Amino acid sequence: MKDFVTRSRILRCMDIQFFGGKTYREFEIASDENFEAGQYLMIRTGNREVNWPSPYFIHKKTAGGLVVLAREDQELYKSGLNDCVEYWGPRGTTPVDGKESPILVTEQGARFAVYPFICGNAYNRLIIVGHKREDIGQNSEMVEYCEEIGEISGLIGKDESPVIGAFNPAAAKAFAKALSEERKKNTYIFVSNKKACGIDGCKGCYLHNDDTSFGINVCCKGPFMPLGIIDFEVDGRCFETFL
Amino acid sequence: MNLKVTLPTTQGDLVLKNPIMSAAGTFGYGIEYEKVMNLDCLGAIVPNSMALTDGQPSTARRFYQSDYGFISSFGANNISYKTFIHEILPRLPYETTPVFIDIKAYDLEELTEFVSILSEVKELAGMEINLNCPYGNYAVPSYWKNGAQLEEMVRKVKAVAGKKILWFKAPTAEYPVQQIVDAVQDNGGDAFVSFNAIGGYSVDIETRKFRCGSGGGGGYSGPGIKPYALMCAHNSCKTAKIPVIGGGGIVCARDVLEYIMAGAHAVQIGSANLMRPDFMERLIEELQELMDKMHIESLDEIRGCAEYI
Ligand SMILES: Cc1cc2nc3c(=O)[nH]c(=O)nc-3n(C[C@H](O)[C@H](O)[C@H](O)COP(=O)(O)O)c2cc1C
Repeated sequence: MKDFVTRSRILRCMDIQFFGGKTYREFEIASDENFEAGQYLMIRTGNREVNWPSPYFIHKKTAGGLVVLAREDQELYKSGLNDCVEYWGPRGTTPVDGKESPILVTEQGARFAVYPFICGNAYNRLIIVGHKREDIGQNSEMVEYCEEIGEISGLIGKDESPVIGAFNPAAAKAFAKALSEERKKNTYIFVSNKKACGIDGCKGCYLHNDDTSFGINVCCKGPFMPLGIIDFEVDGRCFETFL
Repeated sequence: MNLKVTLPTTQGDLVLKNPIMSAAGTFGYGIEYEKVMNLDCLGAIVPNSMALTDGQPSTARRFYQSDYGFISSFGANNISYKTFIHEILPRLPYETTPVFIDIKAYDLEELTEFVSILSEVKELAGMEINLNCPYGNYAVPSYWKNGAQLEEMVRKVKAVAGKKILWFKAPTAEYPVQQIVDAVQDNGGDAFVSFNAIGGYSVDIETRKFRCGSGGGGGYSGPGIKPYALMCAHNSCKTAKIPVIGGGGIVCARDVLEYIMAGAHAVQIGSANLMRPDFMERLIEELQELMDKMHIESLDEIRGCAEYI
């Protein structure tokens, strides 16, 4: 049996600053795996005595590895060049089928979650909810801004492309409210509750669902899930906030 | 050198390949780990707790990974036994690795009904009765809080367990070790699992909110509680005539040997499974290497050998 967990190291790390002035750090992790946009690596660093793994979205494959993005509040962010890490993955399921490019809808705080689709050029529009801020990122010329989340539906209009959303909890709920039931069928949202194992072992990421026996798994089937299955009243309390 | 462990029980000797087994709630239903490791390498498999019917995930934040441990508040985080028996158990290596189901029930009637049903399932080696029962029934205090009720519970469960081995697992609390171990062994329990968790809270000072659990926190386990959990194991061993299964905070082979030297027969591994999914398989290898290095031939040789200074 091939080792499930790979001991690897950081080949490159670089600060990037394009999300409304926020600093993120990009890490190239030595690996020969492939990935699809929306998948993540569970990464465990050696930074602490007691190490818990965390999920990091993958946004690029290089000759030597996979590139992931770490937020300032994540453990990997503190790591440096050549540091050893352990990873398992790619985990999760991509919400895109490769046939139709999605419309990405997000807000500054949660924009990291759609970054893999942007990097892969796997989108046809990027709509940011909130005030226009300085954008230094690639493809920034393609960004559309939308002041109020309630306007989203109008902005998407009759465009039938799939929609992928990533928001903080309050905006996610408002986003769901703004879309018609019909439009929700073709819309995925980033489910941001915490993932402890990334392999459906701990059941910590499950969404409540009355129709199925014991809920819906997020870490393997998501983390982008069909918007229609999410009950924000019941599960909303579990979602993480990204400042 | 061998890692074999023999647990004398009312149903005869239970021989485990090694002392390492999963702790309920931290190893899924086993099958999630099929691709991760050889499940048959384990001493025993204890999947997630089960109830008669399907539960639903808690709607509060369920866990917080603190600096030295894991706070969990998963609620009725269980599938029904039927799903497990029909869809999952056949895929587990139950013929060579004993499977024990950790049971949660709403009241004594449900508990005995559940044990009685499981007593007919030939693939199961036994049941682990969770002393947090009655589960989700806030009107009734946990049975362990009342000596007479605990004895009645153990007796009634034993009466319907048939040929199954019955373990009893400590509650999520500081508990009077001697009374509980006595109640378990005097009324037919086959083994005692000496630690579950203790209560733990954490506050996010940025948002000014407790980080998980609807009541501010949950069960705290992991390396931070190991000294306390080791004391529970040792004090249980001092009073127990039945085997004690230790656990709490194990992250390496040295920790396992500490538990065995404090008197435990075997150990359960909990939150370390959430540090890396193949943790237990590696731990067994590490244990073998450590015992070789320390010239320990068998665990029987060192069980309970730790002396007071
Ligand atoms: C995520 C998680 C879920 C748990 N769920 C259960 C459970 O359903 N039933 C139970 O008896 N113990 C449960 N526990 C407690 C563990 O089985 C174990 O007793 C505890 O974690 C102590 O071991 P550790 O310090 O190695 O983690 C859970 C622990 C964790 C971390």
